Amino acid sequence: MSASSQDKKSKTASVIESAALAKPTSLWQDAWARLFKNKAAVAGLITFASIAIFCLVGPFFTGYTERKGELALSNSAPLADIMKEVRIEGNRERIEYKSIDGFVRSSRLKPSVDGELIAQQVRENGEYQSGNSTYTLTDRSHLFGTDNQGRDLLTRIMTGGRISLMVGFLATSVSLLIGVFYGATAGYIGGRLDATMMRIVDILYALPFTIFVILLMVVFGRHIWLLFIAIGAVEWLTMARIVRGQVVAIKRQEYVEASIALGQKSPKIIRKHVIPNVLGVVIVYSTLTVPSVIMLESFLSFLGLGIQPPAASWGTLIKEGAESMEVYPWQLLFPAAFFSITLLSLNFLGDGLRDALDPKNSPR
Amino acid sequence: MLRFILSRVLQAIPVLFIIVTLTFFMVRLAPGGPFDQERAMSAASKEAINRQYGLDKPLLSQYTAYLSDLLKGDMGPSLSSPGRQVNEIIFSKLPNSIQLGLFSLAFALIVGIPAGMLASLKQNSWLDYIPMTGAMVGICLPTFVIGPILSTVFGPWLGWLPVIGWSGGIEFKVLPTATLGLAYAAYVARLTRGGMLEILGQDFIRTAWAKGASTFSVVFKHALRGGLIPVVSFLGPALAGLISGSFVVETIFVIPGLGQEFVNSALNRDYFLVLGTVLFYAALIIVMNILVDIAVVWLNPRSKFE
Repeated sequence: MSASSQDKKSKTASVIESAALAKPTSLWQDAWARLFKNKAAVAGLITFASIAIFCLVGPFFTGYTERKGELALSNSAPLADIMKEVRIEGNRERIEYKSIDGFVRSSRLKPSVDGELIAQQVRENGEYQSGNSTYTLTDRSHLFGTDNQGRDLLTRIMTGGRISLMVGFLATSVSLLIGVFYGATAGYIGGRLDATMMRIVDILYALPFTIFVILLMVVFGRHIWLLFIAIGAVEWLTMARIVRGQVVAIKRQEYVEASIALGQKSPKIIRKHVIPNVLGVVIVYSTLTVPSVIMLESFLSFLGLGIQPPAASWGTLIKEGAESMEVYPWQLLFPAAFFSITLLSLNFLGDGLRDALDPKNSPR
Repeated sequence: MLRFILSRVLQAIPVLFIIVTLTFFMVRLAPGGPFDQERAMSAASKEAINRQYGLDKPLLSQYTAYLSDLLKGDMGPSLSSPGRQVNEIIFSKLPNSIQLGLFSLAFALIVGIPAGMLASLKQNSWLDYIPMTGAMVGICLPTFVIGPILSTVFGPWLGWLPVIGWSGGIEFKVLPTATLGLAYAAYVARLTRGGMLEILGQDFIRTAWAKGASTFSVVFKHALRGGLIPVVSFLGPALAGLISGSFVVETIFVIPGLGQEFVNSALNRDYFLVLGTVLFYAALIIVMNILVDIAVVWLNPRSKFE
């Protein structure tokens, strides 16, 4: 595949260069134009940007924190009515927040309290008094409900998203750094060094890496920095191969030979031809690496080997939700939806970028 | 051909050696030991038990002892379940895991290949867009998301299928297979579509159309062989993915398989069992990759064994 697409690439590149005389548009302007014509990619970009902003900014506005919950409000359904109970015990007042549905359910076990009546009265009048307790309807609400410790699920999804996205981007950067440096060195120097370096990559490819990441996490404790390093160390291999292939291919292009023949200096060739061509694939592959890293992190967290409580990522939220899916389905469905939609949008964006940066698809 | 296979097998030996060495020193240098849980144990009896398993010797001589046992086909005793051998544990748990893997792979191919072929034949129509969007969604629903949803909906809610266990009738196999196979069906569909599109655009296919061959004959006699090459090359990485996916699926559906054994043995610092399972998985992946390489060359007449 690579040979034919590079043929086409070189052809198109020369077409672009000759067309540049008439109307100067750069490779990047072309790519942007193509990207914005791709509806799925634009939708992916917008969706992903909104989710990222939502997770970064959102926790400041929900009014709840991700670590502190109210046990009396545990497992309350999305948008459930919440009332305040003020109970007078001797000369002390006790204040507790309760979800009305949860209150009715637990009152069925206590014959002395008529939960149904209290719930009905509070819903109708906003207030009700029974025995020592006064119940008031509040305007407190949890859009996505709460988890088993009464923590606001919306806030937890946002802060969990921060961690998942941070792992995604940092681990991708680790793999990017190693992969680009390794691949570019092998490809640029070539010869025996190239052969040896790529043979090492081949051998590493044959290792069952997920198994090693699991071993690393189990064996050396589950520290978040170890997670970045472990995932980054797995993902750099493909990046190195892609970058090396691209550098080798560019070195052989006629237009590079032509610019050498014209007496162009190495730094200018690298700046003009090598970097723009490598940058494209690096961007595309990074966009596609981020979702696979987020997936790997969540996979580890699901097995209990990733992010450790009280911190939470989408993976840990999915794990917690899966344990109570039968009774409290929202605890799984909301985090799972955010997780899957994020992956989906990043994949659409990555596919769109790949098509956009591929000169095969040039309009001319 | 024979030379090719031989050279690949010979290359696998140093890789396996690296894996054994890496795993051995990684688990041994880790903090914690296999008998930490048993707090009541006195220092003397701990020493005795270490001596019994040869864990009191210098690390390097333990390593050489392990290698020489390994060459005789003995993977050592299990430290967390006394009296049992690693060989015995692996082979008792293996059948369930192998079945799960094969069923899921078959599911992925049976669903994925026809969907991808259809999409490539009707490119840019709704028969292309719908399966391909579905495939993208499927890729973004990994086992740990789709598993709990399927097991709750078809288990407790609808009451159609059992959600715990594996051995038993076909009804026990449906949900784990679908959970593990779904993402791979999606990948296979995308790869089939891509491979078929590449082949369908080539000259020999145009010739086949021109000489009046039927759609059936063009697709199945001419295009499919080349169009499936990406799918076949994917089978190597797919196996590695199925193995790690099986850790999740075996946990969700409580299937007694090798995946659970691996995760638990690593947590319990059961040195020999960790080594045994890692080595076994690695060998499986390497063998699969060699088979895939052979199949790719066989499918593509233009490439040669080197």
